[in-house]
Amino acid sequence: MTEEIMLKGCLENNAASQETLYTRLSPKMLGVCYRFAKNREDAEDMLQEGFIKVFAQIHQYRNEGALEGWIRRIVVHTCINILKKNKKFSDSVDISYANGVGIREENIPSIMQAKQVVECIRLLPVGYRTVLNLYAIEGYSHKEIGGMLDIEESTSRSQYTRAKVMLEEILVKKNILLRPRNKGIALTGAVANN
Amino acid sequence: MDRNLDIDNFELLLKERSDEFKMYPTKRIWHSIYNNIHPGRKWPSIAMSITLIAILLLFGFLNTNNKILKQEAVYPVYFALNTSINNNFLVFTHPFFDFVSFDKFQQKHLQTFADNSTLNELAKNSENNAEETSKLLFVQNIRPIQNSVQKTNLNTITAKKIAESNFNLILNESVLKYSPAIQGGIKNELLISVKVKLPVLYNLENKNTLVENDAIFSAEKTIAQISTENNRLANSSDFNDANTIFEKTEVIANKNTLPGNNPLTTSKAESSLTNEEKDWIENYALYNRAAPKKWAGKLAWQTYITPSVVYRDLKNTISTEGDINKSVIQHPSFGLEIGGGILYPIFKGVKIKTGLQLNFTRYNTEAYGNSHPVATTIMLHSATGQLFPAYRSTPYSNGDGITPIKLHNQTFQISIPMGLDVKIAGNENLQWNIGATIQPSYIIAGKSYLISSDKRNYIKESTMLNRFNLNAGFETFISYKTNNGFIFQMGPQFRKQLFTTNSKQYIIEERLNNYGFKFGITKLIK
Repeated sequence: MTEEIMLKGCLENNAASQETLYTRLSPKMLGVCYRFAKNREDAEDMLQEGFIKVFAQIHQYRNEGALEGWIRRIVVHTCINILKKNKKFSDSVDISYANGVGIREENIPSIMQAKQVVECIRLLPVGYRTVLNLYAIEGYSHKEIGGMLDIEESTSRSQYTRAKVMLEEILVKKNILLRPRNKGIALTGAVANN
Repeated sequence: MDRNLDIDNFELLLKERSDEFKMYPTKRIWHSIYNNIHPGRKWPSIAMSITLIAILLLFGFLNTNNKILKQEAVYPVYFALNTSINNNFLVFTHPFFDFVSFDKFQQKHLQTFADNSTLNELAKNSENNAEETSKLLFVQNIRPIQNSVQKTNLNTITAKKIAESNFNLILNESVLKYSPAIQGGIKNELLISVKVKLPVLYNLENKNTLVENDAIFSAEKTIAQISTENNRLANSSDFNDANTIFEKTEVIANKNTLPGNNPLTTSKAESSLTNEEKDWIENYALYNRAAPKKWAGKLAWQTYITPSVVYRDLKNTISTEGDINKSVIQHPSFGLEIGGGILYPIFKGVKIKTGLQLNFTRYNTEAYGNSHPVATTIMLHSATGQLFPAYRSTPYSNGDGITPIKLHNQTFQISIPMGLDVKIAGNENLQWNIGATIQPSYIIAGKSYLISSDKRNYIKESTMLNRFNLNAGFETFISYKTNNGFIFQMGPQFRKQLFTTNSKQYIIEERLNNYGFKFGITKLIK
């Protein structure tokens, strides 16, 4: 089924087209949600809410940009809304709190490539993690992030900087990254060869 | 988005790696989304279950007949009396019974009675006797229609009991009395006031006993009226003459009062009873016989248990090289089915059956535990046929490792078996039968270990279990019916799982086969 036919079917509320769209994009979108969520169950809840909104607002898609990107934005906004509703984070993740948070020595199993990086991102405090996800991965500007999270643009910048530093330390500690940082980033051999 | 286009390598790395990351959601998520965006359409299995239950309820309702036969038995009671004085008692003779007037009223006028005076003369000679009454006593049992006078010795207590038990004569309200002042009539005319309680009978086919409601019939007539009527009836053999019928003055509803259309309010006049209805009264109402239920002796309940051995069959959907079953070391294990249901014969020797069944399946896989988890992948494919690797970590390996370990793949299911039993040979007590069922099943809980794409590891992935499945059961059994109506059966049973245990995304299909022995008890519902 081509994307055009699938989209037309979704506009007509055709269940088969909707399921096809869901099947194609849900693995990637769940990965997006997983980066924002505390655990898999929360991530699936975010995915469910996100796709319900997608199908409810599918008629608003204007063929400006890829359908996947449009859906991804809806899913990301849904993740943020759920985090805000559940008060999972606030803009009060200040320096003292951040400094006091040690890197959780979770027993991350030896996993490959993307999952390693994602799991390390999830080790960050929720505020840092959210800003890093939105800026570095989803491509929002600090101004947009400030509007989404109800924080100042400067707060977004400072949180992102600290998040990046903390993440680098985690990746180095897990032997996923090699120092020195200033000369560029390199993955460790086991990951890089994949 | 007005981002700074200068993205350093770290951020690029993060973005690339994160975009590669995929996770596969459980079926439950799609079901929830579907139900939310299509609220009118529920999953077919729920609709099918509700439809099946509704059909069973309708079937039971149609075979339960609450038909009420509006039969009213009104015994013809005629207020035709002869009067005579016999052995110092004033005797009123009726075709069915005798009244005897007693107590002080009679004593007071005994002298006059001895003179063979008529009661009317007695009344004329009385002085304001309106308040005096004399209770009537019933002397004799109901008897065939006769005009002769039955003379018996009076036994007050016996008579009273006879009257109350056999003919529902309301003795304390059946009296002789003088009429009050009547405009245009005769004052102090002697009246005979009789109240009789008559049963009105109903037969409910779903109950074993008759239901009775009572009506009170009363009449109050003068001696002259009675004499006139009596003379008329003396020349007639037809006692169905409506002119002499008591009037129904009161309806008594007992605890068995019927709701809704109470035939007491729409009772038929005695004269309109047809011969068929009178026959019914004689054959059913009189002897308290209930009409037979249509399904009595046909519908049966059954309960059973089937211990079994569970085998697993694997199939690789993308590769035909080698038999995947030989790449793993698996052993059958214990399974169990417990259930109950109902059976109903549709033709001679053929019964349909349905019910509810709980299933437990298990088989074991030999594996090895490692000191630390290792990275591995399982191959999944989408609805369009594209293959994706899903990354996992697991401490279980296939073939080599540190500690041998047994992995238990098991499920707890609930099923609704629907099928047939067919008699092959035998008599009423001992039979040989075969049976088959189709069983929609729902997996309540379970554990599933999937083989990795390189067949070197096992990954625990219970989220990939297919919640809904379909099984088919085949059985043959010997049944024996005991004297107390219980039917014991036993025989081998084979149960096959028709769809794969895990999600269709997983490239390796798994189907379970259960070989068991079924023990069951059946009893007819009466």
